[in-house]
Amino acid sequence: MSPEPNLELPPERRLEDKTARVDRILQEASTTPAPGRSRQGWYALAAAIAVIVGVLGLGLVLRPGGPDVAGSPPPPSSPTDSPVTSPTPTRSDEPELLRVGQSTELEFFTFTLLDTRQTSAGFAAEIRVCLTGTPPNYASDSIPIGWYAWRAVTKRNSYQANVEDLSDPAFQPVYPSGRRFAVGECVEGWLPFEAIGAAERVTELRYSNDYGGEARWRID
Amino acid sequence: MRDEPGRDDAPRRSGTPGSATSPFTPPEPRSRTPSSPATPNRSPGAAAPDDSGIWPDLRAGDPEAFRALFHRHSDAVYNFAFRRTGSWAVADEVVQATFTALWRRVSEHRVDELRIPSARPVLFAMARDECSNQLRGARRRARLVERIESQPVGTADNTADWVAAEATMTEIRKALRRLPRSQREVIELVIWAELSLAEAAEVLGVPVGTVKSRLKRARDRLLTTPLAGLLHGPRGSGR
Repeated sequence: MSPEPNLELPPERRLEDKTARVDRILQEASTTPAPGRSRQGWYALAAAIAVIVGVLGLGLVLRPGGPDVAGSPPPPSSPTDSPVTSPTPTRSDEPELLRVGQSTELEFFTFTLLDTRQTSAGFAAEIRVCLTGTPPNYASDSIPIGWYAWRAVTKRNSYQANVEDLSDPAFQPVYPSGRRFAVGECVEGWLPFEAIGAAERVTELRYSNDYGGEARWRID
Repeated sequence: MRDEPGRDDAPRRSGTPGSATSPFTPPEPRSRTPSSPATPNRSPGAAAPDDSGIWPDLRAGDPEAFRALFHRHSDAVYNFAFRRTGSWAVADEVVQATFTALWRRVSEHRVDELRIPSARPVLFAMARDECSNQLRGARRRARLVERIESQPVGTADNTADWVAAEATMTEIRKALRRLPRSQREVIELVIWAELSLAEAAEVLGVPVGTVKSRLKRARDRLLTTPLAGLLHGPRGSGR
């Protein structure tokens, strides 16, 4: 007999002030531009800056006594020159999309997606992780590494791994869960996502940790 | 009619202990016929909200459709999130984040057609992610605590109940760790949140047969233990 007492699910509750809540969501949405619209705004700004810089540059070339393009050294670059050549202000927070086999060096960790596998039990990714450092003033010289920072993304959903509930022996050795790693140590293991059925195709594997480290791999 | 307050308030389950419907028997899928296209396989007597009429309006960006959907499903999302996180405050955050994300998707024209007539699979799948998001980041948790502490606590007569419910839920989640996550999830969705097998399958992205077999395995495992009471679903629903 199990030692637990008889447990019953707590009664359900109802949200109060539904009308006020939904009003707040609609109001916030109308005052906060959506990411897509925000990007469009940046595109417009970048285009406007490009036009201004282009016009100024043309004026510089055409003005009487202007620099001799062929014989003069190039003018020193100034911050106003940069928008047309530097990365566009539409910088996305998304990290670069890597391929299977590629590595990423994050702060404190290096990750490599070695392989992926789809079985009747679900999807799994084989990961290699190396601990390269610890955060400043970190109390220990080792960091616990777990599966919670990983997600498999499909067209309609994203899933957490389920390392501790592994049912398919094909997914062994399993990715470490909760174990501490010393700086310089590396380990490999399979990260299973058994909630993903065979009918659903994983398109991306994502990693995001509490230290701000993020990575993504494209799954073909 | 968009909003259906009568439905929203209607009791949704009949499988309470002692009723004719055994809570241990998984609801069987009903075959869909042209005359009953919106009939998911849920417990007899349970009112299945049909969102197929409202969904096109939502996708077209109609705020009234969004309001109606919020009134119809926010309680279900709230209780689902509570059972997943063990915290009413986090569940509250999850509701807000889920519906905010849905409305953002609407404004970006990124809402697909419903594959079954209920919006719950879509909402629960989003809420499931939000639960993970809310619980994952330590920084988020810290911010949440700050905000919660700055807010007035609920009225004195029910605060103790809320706290007790959170403690109970934490115990339940701890006790259920004996089950694989995949089996716990079907209990959360099918028994506790009363989704149909088809709806749960939509949330999890697995075939209905998989949900059914996971549910059966979970029941077989809990039936002879003191945790069998958890297979009854919520008691004294506030609905």
